[in-house]
Amino acid sequence: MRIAWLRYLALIAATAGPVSGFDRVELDVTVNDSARTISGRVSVDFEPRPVELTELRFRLYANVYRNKRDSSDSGTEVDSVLIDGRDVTSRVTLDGTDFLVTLPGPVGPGVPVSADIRFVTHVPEDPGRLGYNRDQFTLAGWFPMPAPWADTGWVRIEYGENSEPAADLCDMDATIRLADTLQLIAPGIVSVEHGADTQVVRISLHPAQDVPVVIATGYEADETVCGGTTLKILFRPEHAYVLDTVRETACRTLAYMSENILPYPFDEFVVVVGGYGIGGGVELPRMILLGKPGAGLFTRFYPAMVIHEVVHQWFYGMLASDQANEPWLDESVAEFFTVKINRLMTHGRGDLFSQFGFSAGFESSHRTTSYPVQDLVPIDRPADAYGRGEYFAAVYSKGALVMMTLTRLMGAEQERQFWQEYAGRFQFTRPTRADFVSLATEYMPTGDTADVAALISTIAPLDFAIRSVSVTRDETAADSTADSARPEPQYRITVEYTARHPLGFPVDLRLEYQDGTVQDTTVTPTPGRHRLVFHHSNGPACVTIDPEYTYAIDRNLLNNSIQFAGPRGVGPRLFSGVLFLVESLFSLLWGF
Amino acid sequence: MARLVSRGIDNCRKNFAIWYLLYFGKLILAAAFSIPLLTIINMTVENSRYAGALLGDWSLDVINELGRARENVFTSFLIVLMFYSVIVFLFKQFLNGGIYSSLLARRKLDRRDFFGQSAGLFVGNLKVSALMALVYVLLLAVALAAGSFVPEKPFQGFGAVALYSTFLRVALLYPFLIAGTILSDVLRFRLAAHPAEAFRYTLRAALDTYRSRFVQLNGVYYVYFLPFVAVWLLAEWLAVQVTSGMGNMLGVLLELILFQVCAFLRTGQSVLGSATIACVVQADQDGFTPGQGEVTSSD
Repeated sequence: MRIAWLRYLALIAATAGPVSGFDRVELDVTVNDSARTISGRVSVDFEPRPVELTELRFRLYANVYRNKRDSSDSGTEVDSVLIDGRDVTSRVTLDGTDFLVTLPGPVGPGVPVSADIRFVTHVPEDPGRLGYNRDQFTLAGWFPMPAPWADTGWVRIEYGENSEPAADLCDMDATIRLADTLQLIAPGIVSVEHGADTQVVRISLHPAQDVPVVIATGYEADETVCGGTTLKILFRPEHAYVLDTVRETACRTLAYMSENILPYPFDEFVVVVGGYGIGGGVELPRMILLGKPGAGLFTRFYPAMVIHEVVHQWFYGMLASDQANEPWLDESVAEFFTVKINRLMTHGRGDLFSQFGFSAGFESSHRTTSYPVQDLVPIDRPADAYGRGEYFAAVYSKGALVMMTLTRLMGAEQERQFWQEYAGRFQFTRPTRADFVSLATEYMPTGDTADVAALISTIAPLDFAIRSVSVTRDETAADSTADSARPEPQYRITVEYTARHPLGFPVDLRLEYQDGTVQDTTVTPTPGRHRLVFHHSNGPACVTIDPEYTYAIDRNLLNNSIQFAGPRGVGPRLFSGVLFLVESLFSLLWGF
Repeated sequence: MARLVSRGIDNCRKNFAIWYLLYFGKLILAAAFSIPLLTIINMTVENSRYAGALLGDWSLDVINELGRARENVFTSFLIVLMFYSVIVFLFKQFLNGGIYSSLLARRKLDRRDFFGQSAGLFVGNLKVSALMALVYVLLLAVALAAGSFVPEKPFQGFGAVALYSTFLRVALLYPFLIAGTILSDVLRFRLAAHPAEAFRYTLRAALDTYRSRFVQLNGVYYVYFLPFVAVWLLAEWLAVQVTSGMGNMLGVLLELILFQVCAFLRTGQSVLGSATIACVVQADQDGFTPGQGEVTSSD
């Protein structure tokens, strides 16, 4: 009797409707793998909005592929639209990836509304996030999805080459029918029912901004428990050799982010090795797809890609910022954490490559990649405002450097608190640039929002340099100690430094003396040439501006110091190496 | 084979001057390019603490930073290097006539004969180079096609394993290119022996010899090549270790010396290989005995 009563309560709880505050999206679709279509219906129960609604806006991300060659027949077609049960198909306006439904009458503030859309998506032949490629369907952004909601209205996004399917978090439930011979890989699978020739897969993701699905054959599964999360790695047998690395990297990243930012709130995380047809990886809710491992595995680019995509489970998955309009809020931040976590995993220098006496750092590789765009484009443009090459150089590489600069200026403890507060405050919402800037300002040494905003938007070629150091005997000081038994020699050290396009934040100037003592002076330089005079009983061994390389966006780190003591031979070593390289080239040409 | 190797070493010893000539020629030309570069970049790196990392290892971070700081210098020098390489190539094609004649002749050539042969065979050696460029492209294509049949599984891995497997894959391509190098030598020896004959006859005769003595020619090359590769690798590994370990000017100096040992041995291996190939083709009396009006005419 007691059990029956409990069941009754559970049933009420399950059918009582939403308590999460997210819009609810319910999908019921059939996959026709031979026709490469997905058809069915999507029902959306919108939470009440604070303003009167006269229209509903959706996103048809699949239509972005219509602009691509050979994919013009792909995209999503809308067959019918019902609003609160009433057919409004004639009131639909389709414009590329934008899908607007004019409501038959205004819906007052605080009144819920529901939509029921019948659609068919023709899957493009594409190796990217939405497409059919070599017997595999990769499905992201494949159904009509509500457009993001800003404070007072819908956000219209013109999707292009760089933009990813932006959406607010919704409670997602999907029922997918497909051939029984196929393998469906997705997070949040609740049940799989096998029929004669078909299978029915039910997926529940509360909340998520998509229902990501991979449909293929031949994947094998590996399951590990990382913390409280089950890590499922799907891989093809020929890629089994990367399994250990992927597992360890994903686990350690989940642990780092859970410990330092915000605990991972879900009990499952899916990784599909080789599931992404384009080089690199892609983040999806509770799932990531990684490109096929290939050449170049002697560097740490592949593990770094794993880290990057796992970090997205926070900065995309939980903090669902608008990737299309503000890609830096997830990509720059994810790449920043990638460098940080990768460095921790490899214990420092040479964290990208270290073999046979050669080394390369990940941060430095970002300096190189971002260099061509550093003083051309800021990191905070909408995704499609960048050219293809520019996008990665600016948003990923320069973005990571800007984040490094920002957080190093905060200091380690402040930085940790900042990320925790940022993630905690905006968890399961859509943070904006203003949110980020406003909170970051609270943790910066100068509490001016304009300074943080300027750093994020900067295209200024910032450069700190020590121009000259002159040392003279300080006669006055020597004279003043003339009466003592053994007067200390006194030096007057004049340091000339320049600051090109400083951002108004402080920078340290470090003077190391020959007796080993170190003197740090913090300055907040204005643009131009400056002079500082020091008096000391010892001569200088090295003068460095920004000795900890806080400013990762500094154009030139070689001119940050002038050293008078210490090991020499960098120039000769370069000569020796260049000479040997040129000789080897000549040997190749000569045959001798 | 042992007798052949011994004859090759004798031939090389007889023409030891060629080894020196080529090594020092290479060194002087490379230094003429590298010294100005050093003078320009030394100011940028010598007092910089950031650049100091380069004393620990070959830090690509520092090299990248330098490339950015002196972007124009690097670009200019790369352009100069390209032009320079063309000049060096032409210079070597000029010397080839003298070198192959010397190695083929059963006696030592004097300077006049050497440069006389160099001048006389210059155009012929250019023709051989043009032909060999096509052959190398073809061989590379064949090598890559053959490489695609190599199973991938043994080469899969991360880090050092991936790097070793990359080296191994390159090594698998190498025998194809070596086969080309030997053909080039045979062609040049034939040219030195019969400078007046039409190029198509030179080619046909050289190919006949190459085919009939393929195993011997390739085998003798590896007798020198493999030990030298081991020594180069050892010297280069030692060079990097020494500098990283010491992290100062003395380490850099030792590295410079070891690099030069490698460069010297690289030249030596080629001279020794060609000297021995000369002994192989000398056995082909009809094809590679210098004819009238050639080297023997000055006797």
